[in-house]
Amino acid sequence: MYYRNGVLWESFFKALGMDYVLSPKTNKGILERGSAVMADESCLASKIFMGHVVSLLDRCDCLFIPWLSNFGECGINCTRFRAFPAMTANLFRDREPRILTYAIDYSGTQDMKHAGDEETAFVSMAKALGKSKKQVRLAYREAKEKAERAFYEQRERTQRLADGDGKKILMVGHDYCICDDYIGKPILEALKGYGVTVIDANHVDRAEAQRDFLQLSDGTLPWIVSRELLGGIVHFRDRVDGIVLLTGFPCGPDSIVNDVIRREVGDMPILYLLLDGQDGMAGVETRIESFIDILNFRDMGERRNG
Amino acid sequence: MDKKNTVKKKVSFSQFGHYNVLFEYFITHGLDQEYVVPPAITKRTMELGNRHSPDFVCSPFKFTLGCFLEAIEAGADTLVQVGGVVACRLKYYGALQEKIIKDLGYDITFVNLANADREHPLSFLSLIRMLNPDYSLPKILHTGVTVLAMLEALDRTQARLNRNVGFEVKDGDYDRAFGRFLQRLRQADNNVFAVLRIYGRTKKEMEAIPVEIPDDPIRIAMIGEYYTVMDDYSSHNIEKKMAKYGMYVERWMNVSNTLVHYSAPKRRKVIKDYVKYDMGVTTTSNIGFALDCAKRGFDGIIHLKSFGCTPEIDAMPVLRNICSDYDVPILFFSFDCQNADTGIETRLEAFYDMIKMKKENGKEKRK
Repeated sequence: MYYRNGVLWESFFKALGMDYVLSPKTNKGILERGSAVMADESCLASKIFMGHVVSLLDRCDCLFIPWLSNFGECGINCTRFRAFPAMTANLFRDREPRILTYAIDYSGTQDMKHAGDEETAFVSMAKALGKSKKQVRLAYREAKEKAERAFYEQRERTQRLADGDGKKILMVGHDYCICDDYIGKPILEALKGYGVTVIDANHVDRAEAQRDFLQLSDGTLPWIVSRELLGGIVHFRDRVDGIVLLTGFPCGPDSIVNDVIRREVGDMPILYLLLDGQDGMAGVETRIESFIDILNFRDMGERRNG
Repeated sequence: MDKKNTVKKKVSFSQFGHYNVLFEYFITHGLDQEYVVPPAITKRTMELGNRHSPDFVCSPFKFTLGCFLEAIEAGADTLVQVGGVVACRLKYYGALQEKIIKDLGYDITFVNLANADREHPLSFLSLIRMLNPDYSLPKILHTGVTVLAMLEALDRTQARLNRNVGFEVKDGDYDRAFGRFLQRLRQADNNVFAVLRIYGRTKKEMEAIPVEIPDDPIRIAMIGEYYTVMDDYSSHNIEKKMAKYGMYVERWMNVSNTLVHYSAPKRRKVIKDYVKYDMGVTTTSNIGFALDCAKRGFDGIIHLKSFGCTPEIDAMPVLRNICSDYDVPILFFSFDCQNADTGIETRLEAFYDMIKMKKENGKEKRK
């Protein structure tokens, strides 16, 4: 979620004049340390998350782990985002980590005291931060504005890429997979190595995506990010040549959503990359290469027929 | 159009524990439709579901899909899938299963209860209309009450069975009584009193079954993911297996306890030393029950789930802490579509031996 909310969080602490420590970029060591504490069958991304927690344990006074449950009408998060604070507290009980958290629970389904919007959630941290409610509120608003602007600029950049020429591929996956330095970046680099422009399906107008996803699924799709990704597919699909689905094994939402995408998108080459933290890129590279070949053959075929 | 001449829909619902009986009753008595009993889950069901499901979706998806496909073969033209209250993958089962079944070329009506909105009870009516356009609301409500009573009776009877079946003197007595009970429910009159009479009669019958309960039996708490815990086939009949070792098995989780008697705020309060922020879905109730049993001095906890069940995996670190605090052994099982029982039996046996030794050592020390 850092990739989704990073600007918001960083600007928030900066505006309050507080020090924060970011965990290092994901590397093999982080994944290994995370896998060591997590259950084997946890998803790849959560192992990486716990690896980051381990790397931070000795370096800060307090771990910032928000509790992100649901966004009301817009959908819910995977339950794991609800479990992270309690999981961290229980896994590292001996080391007594202090955890700073806020609860996003728009629909108040959990009967928690924190039901309300994001601003309410941030303000609820005021006491734990030792700041006044007003200070926190102002800091939140400032940070939120920055985050919105940053996301808007990012969307504009992606849109320009999508409108540009050349071979384009739509990357569909959770941003904590796509943007991750250890699991996602090497794949992006490999694709770019073939001269392909990569479009990130996360970079769509979120309100628009909430309407668009209904073209590919019915309204029972619960997860907000999956909805936005489907919205991203609807938004970009006329502008790209193929889709890459990037999933960390065994992601709960993706296990179902990917099959829906496969069945609904129809006439578009799809490469389904399932990552499970193996070393060695050779297998992935082969598959990317053959995928690019398929795209090229298709082009040639179209030209011949057209 | 003459209503009496309209062809009845052939409705079916996936196998799930013994709850099919209730569903059947509601469809036939409340909605006046025909019910197709899905064939009992077998290896074929599982393979059928597995073949058409995504790779690493949780096993209940595969089981229910397999059940649907077999129900269609048995003549069903309308399928019902649940959804709704929970926040896990289950909510999205229906959408994909409908696509899979239709992509396979079957022309069926798929009633997905996930489409109903809890906050707008009227949305249920539009789904019921799909099952019977000429439904009668009073009849539905009347049958609904009967079915609720049946649910309560079924869960209590099942709990009685689970508590005692391991100690019966003659093998199979309890199962036979339970089978008769289900048969009576199917034929029951549509009112609460009839259900109560059946419940009372079965209770008497079960109490009359001779049992030999040792003074201090090994007591095990069974927790885990909703479907796997309650469905005998997916849990490899583990409840029975434990009983055969002479263990007393207590399982809190069943439909009536989770939907009717459950208070999340209360459970949250109980576990607040371990979990400050709710971990979602069934974790709160499972952790709460585990803690409760640990405090009551149970000898072991057994945790079942389907492979990849996110909320239950997340609960594992908490359960481990509880178990180390109260010195209770715990055994984790994770099921997918595998068949062989041998591995499970070996682990169960080792768990049983270990608990037995631990218990005897404890007794000696106390002497």
